Amino acid sequence: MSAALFAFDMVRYALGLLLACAALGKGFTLAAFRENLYESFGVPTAAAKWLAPLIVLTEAILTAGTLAGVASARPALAAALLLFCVFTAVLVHRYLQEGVVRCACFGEPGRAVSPFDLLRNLLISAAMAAWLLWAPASDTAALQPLAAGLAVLCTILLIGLHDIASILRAQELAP
Amino acid sequence: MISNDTLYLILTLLAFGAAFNLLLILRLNRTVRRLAAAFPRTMLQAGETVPALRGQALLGRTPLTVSGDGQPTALLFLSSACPKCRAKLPEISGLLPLAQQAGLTMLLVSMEPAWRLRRFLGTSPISQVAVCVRRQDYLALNPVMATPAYLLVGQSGMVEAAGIIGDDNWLALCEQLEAGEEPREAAA
Repeated sequence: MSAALFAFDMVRYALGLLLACAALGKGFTLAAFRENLYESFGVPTAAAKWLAPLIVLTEAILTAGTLAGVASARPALAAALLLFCVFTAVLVHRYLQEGVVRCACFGEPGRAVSPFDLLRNLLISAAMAAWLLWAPASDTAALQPLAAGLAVLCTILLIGLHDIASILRAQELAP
Repeated sequence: MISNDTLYLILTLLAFGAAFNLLLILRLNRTVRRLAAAFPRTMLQAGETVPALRGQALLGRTPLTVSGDGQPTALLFLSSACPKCRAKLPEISGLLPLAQQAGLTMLLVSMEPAWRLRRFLGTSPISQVAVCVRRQDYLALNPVMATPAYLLVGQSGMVEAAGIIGDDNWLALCEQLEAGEEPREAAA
């Protein structure tokens, strides 16, 4: 098994876990996510009522598709990439226009979106695009637990990017 | 000699262990923040000396130093990420000429990037009194990063009042500025 195959497996797992966390995070804070769709993205209240659970459901389906295998991951990640690109573009636009955007992308409804959240979305989109472009078509079997372990680590790193950055900056300020 | 399988198992455990460790750190960070919020620090208190402020004027990008130089000063803290701050802009804009007449220097102190501050303030006259400072300097003045907040600094360079824009001291200052009175009395 080559390092590249291993890396692609790890990326697929990480992306699947990220989608799962996004679905769970929004699902657990659905009311706040619905409110953010209305307040931050200008979606009318009536539309936000059905759009919020629809996005959660879509992410759950994409999670299943991504984690089920390489064959199903391809269409799932293509759809996820489209969703992420649209979502990130809207987020960046609102961030530049308004300054304050709340997203609850991964279940953090009280916090405004920071540049690190935007960077996280860009990194995820780039990883999705890279996987779609270069990942091999066949399934790989070896070292799956190790790939999964590293994927969990990457997932936590990416979701916690804002918090990690604030911890590092706080250290920087220490006397 | 360790077999490959054992090595992979160890690496897998290490990867999950590192992930768990990171999760714990992030959890701990949140707990610390919650605890810090439960015991909030305060802004600089009345009687404390305000550190000299060095920054750049938003317009013109000229270097600026503000210290206890005999001029009473109101330092304002507004953030583009704070919806309440946006709502305060018209009120503060209206106070600027009154403050000038009363001999009170008003400065908006910000650590945000200039482009973002410019967009936040738009055409408001507050941009003429906005100062961009380094994060460290900002935190020396406003350690809790309170917004919309103010520090009223007396002629001696000591804090005479501090709080949230809209509190009793602020309203008293506004009333006295509108009445054309001396700002120092308002802060007392």
